Amino acid sequence: MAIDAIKMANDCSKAWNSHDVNKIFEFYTEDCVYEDLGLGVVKHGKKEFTDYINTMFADFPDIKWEVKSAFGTNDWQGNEWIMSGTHAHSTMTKNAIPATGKTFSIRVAGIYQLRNGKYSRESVYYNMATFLQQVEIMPGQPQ
Amino acid sequence: MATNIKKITNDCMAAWNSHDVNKILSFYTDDCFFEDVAVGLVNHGKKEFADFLNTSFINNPDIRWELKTFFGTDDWIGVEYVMSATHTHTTRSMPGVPATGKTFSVRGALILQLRKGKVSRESAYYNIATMLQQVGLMPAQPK
Repeated sequence: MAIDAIKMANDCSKAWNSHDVNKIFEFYTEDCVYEDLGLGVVKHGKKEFTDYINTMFADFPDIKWEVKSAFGTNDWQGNEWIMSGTHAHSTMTKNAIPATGKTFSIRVAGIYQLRNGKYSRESVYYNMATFLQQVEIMPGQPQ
Repeated sequence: MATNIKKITNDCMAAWNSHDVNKILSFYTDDCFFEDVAVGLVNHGKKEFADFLNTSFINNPDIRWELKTFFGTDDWIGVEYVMSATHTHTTRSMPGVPATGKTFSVRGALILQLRKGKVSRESAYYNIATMLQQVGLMPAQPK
């Protein structure tokens, strides 16, 4: 049966928005690879992935995702969304990016590979410089 | 007729690598919308897009793209690529920064929407912080 990419993207982002790690992980294969190209981080498998997102929810207690577009086949998906929240703590980057308590809202593209209806790879693309500007760590670009 | 995603993707990327603006434009609709999400730059229609491309190729004389993955439907294509260049001029992605002469190579994702086999919208996502790190203008993040 064909996978409904829009439904899957919305259901998955709902799980992410619930901050319930077990619910989120239902969308991923046990051996999934998750990479964040903004931070340059790669996580392999359930343990690494769930540890990582637990830390993310601690650092960004109000982080949320809004799906803007979704498409794909049974093997691949592409999504665009807006990720927003407050940078409250800096556990994830070990204070390399100090938490300023400021909010951010950035556009992200996700590229997914699927196996048997679950995500086996997720690669998340966004501009870290935009984040750093919004949380006032880096000076803004002239318009 | 089903969209030949492989052909469009490969041919369009070959056109970008040729730096031949007319060849590139032949893959896009007249009213195409092109945005560089990282820079926050938007072009509407072929005229604006052509001006953008000409400036890009002057500022980045050796810029090139390597196709890593692609997939899609009749209406959408997702692409992962690596963009490489030498930082020989001040560019939009690193405004106000004098050329360092260093090279950068960053991963990006493209989300394309198609109309009648031509690209009507293209949004490019990549991380400028990675570029700044590679040309030595920003400290690398600790792992």
